[in-house]
Amino acid sequence: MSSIDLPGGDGGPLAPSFSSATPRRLRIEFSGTGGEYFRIWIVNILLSILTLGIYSAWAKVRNKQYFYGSSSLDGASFEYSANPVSILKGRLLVVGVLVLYQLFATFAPVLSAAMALGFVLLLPWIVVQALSFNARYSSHRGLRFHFDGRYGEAFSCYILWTVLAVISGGLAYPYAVYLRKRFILGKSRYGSTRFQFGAPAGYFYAVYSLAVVALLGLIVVSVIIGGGIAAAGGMLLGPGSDPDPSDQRNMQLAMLFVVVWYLLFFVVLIGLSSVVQTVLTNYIWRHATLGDLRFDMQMSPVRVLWIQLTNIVLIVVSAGLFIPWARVRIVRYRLTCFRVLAAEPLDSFAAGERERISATGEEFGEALDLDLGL
Amino acid sequence: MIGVDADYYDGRSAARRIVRVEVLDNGEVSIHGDGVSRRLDSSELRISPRLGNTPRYLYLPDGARCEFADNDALDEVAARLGGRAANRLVHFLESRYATAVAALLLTVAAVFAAIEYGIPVLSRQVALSLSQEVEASLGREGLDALDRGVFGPSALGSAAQKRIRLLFDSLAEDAQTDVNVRLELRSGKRLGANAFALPSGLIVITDEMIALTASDEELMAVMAHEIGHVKHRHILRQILQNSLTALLVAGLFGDLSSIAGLSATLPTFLVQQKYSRRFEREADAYAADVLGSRGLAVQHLVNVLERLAKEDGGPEPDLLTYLSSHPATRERIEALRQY
Repeated sequence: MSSIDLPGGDGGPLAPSFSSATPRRLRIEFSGTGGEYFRIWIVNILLSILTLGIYSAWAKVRNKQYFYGSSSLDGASFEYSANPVSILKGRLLVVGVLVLYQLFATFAPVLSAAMALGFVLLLPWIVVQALSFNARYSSHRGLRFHFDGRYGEAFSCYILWTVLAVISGGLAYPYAVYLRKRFILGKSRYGSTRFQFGAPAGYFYAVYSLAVVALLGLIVVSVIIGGGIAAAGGMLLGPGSDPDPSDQRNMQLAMLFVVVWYLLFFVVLIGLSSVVQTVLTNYIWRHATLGDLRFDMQMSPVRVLWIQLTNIVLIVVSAGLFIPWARVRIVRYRLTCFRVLAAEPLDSFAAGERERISATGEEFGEALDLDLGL
Repeated sequence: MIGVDADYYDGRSAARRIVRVEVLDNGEVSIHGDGVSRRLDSSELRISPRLGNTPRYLYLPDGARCEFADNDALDEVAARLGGRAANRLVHFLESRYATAVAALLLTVAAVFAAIEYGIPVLSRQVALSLSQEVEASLGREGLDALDRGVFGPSALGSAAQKRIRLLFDSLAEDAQTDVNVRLELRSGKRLGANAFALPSGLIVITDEMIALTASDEELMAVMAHEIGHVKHRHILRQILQNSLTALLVAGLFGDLSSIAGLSATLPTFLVQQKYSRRFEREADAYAADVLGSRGLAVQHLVNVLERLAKEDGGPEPDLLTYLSSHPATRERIEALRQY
């Protein structure tokens, strides 16, 4: 998909030349294929079933390793090196808590409410834990990524600002999303170099405002059309009317239409949120830096939506068999649209403090090395 | 001596050095080129397992690593260093279409076996091993919620209620359940003719349902069906089965992006409805047994089912059966006629 590079866009071949000052536009080559991934995927599912779920931790690592290993930037692949035992421990903990919660919800609702409150307080910790686990075991050119976010900041942008978003009737919501994205990217490091995200929140407000306008328009249209269908189907007949069989048939037909309409509206809602996500992801990468590196992301929202919707349809039609191809498809498209703008060679990054420590043999606390990202 | 080209990273900077990795005849490994000259014993090294055709790594004890693009050449080196047999087996399985198709068939068989036997049997064992008192707390609260939202008090006179309770008590006594089975009468309002069991042995029957039955025998058939749900611990088993199904489906289709994850809710729903239909058949069978032991005809239950179906408006299309929590009336009646 080389056509993604907009002709005349910044940095493209047609742009005015700044000779040596023009950074190289590096793309991430993705060499994975659906056929190859299918074989890995299905064997790992079978092994997970045969081991009653134990192997699923190893399967997760292999799935991730396949996508990391198939992606290479400037001749070096990405590496995922998590220990499956840590993932297994994390999963056992999560399943244990879920079972406990289910039991409480059924037999002791008061306790389950307390547990839900506890979960809210734990959520920021879980977010930080999952992000740092994933970063810690991701590396490129022998350097690890890191995530240094702390509980307090996570609590502020995931809990506090969510509450404020609700209190303000949604007005603070775009800012809450902005803070979360800034938290995730701005607290990430590659080696000792921190990612920076300095753009203001204005763009988030513009995107969400447009989304709300589009949504309101859709609601009005759906109410008009839905109401029309209901009226035509006899839904608006008075309660005292004679329930003869043909009326009942009409009523069922009308119900069916309402259900279909509701589903359609649901699909539109998901589509809208997908478009918002895509547009924001583009914006975030275009305003992110890592040392001297800049980034570019040019995903087309329509194209992403098309891939996602056709993926769902093909997964359902194929009874799940299409899943490996679906995953490869969306990852390949995302990477195709991504560029790393490098003025200098990538050689100059250095490891972070921790790596120097662990390189001398002092492994840091294994006890909390849990993967809680489901 | 065999060798293979690699990119060397020292783990402290992102600088890349092009090196050659060689396994010497004495078992040592030599890494040299581009300012790197190292010699290590093979026991100090670890090679990442092969995965598709993705690059592999040779890990050195000090955090340095070599990245290899040529997997076939590296296989020879790896064979000399001796990798884990389990890793080679997994790659053998993952790299062939024949084994992938075999894995697919086995997966389908295993999922079918889990849905058909594994999950129901496991849930039944767990449910039967738990004391029924565990369930007792929920029934009351569930009914309170329904009373606030849907039901009104029963409009039946006290004499009629007393007669109905007498019928119910004799059935409940015969059932010999661990828990006390109790009857609650309500006006169904919007819900219309309905009867259902809550955990802890509460059974709710609406006035409309009682009106629908043409005789005491038919009412007893309805009651026996609901007592069957309690007797067989269906509510607890349903909770357990639905949780296990959700876990199984999440395991099968998990790790999907949020949008595609939606497609996993459909199979979960279909399996849960299948279990619900199976419980209905079990409760029907229990009711048929009770009627039989009292010398009453199964036809009484058949009559109620037929009248309920007529009230709901004609036969359902076949396809909708898979979405339904109850088996098609026609099928239930045919099954009942076997008794």
